[in-house]
Amino acid sequence: MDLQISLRKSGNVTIVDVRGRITSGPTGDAFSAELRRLAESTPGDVLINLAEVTQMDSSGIGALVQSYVMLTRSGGSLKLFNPAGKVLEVLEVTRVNTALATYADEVSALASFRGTT
Amino acid sequence: MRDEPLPDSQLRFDAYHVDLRTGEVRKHGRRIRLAGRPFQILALLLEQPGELLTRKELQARLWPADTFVDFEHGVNTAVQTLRRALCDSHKRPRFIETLPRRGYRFIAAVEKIQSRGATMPVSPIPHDRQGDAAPRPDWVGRVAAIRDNAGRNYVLLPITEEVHDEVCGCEAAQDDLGISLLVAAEKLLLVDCGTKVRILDATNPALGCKVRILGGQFVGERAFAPRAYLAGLS
Repeated sequence: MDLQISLRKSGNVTIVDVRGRITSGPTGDAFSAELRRLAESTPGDVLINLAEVTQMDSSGIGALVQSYVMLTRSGGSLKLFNPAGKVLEVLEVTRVNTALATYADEVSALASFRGTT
Repeated sequence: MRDEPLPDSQLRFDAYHVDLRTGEVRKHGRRIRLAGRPFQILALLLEQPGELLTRKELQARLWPADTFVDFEHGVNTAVQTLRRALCDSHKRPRFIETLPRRGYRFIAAVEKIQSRGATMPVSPIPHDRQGDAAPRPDWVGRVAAIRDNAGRNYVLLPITEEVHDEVCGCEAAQDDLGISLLVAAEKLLLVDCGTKVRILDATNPALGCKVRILGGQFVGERAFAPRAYLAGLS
């Protein structure tokens, strides 16, 4: 499956729903470009929904970490929710799940921006 | 009761060389700062690797009976200093494991260095390394497969010795963002288990083997793979 990315808002938080694989090549490049565009155009709080990401390699990790750094430097933030299976394992092995706040579901992820969790 | 220190005073574990007589600790041949109680604790742990060193034993052997100090704080601080010197992590220990409220245990394989330069193991080899011989020069040119004994599907391989040391520092400082940034910069390669690699060099047991990656995202790249990550060699 190719990569599909859609954006929605919940209050001030931009939620990025991602579907497909984020691996080296066109899908990794598209994901990276979208996050960079988001970080540059509307710096703020971003939440990435990984529930339907089926595969991720280091190009996906690179995009996440670079966007996290860009957003944090501009006063925003980047958090993750719903990683599963091998994607969760990749996040664990690379420590991204602890370096970037990672939540099991959207409700708790959104609540974290309000400082309630 | 634990035995007295081994008469042969030189020991080796991972990249570290310890001289119990002179109190020197070296990593990759370079001396590292470790003295006083942190060194004494290391020496006690190395007396009987794999066995529990209780906090009570530590107190009895390092603090005289009539000493009036905050022992708990003292031992915690000394162990913290020791871990930092060894690039070890409380959460993911490679060398010193904490047994909560009981004490500490040295968990890496330790070798005694005999006078003629040969080594012999003084501790049980950890389960995840059983059957793994140390890297041998005659492996150069052979092909192995990446594996992870913990059952994960991926491993991280540093591309240089400097990156290896940087990872070590990140581990010790629990700097997870540092590790993530190294992966993002592709200095620490995320490699799928099962990926084939060719052995390029096998002369540095501390770093593992230098390998050429033969498949996957990083095909063609060079990296260092610890012996435990290499299947198909004997």
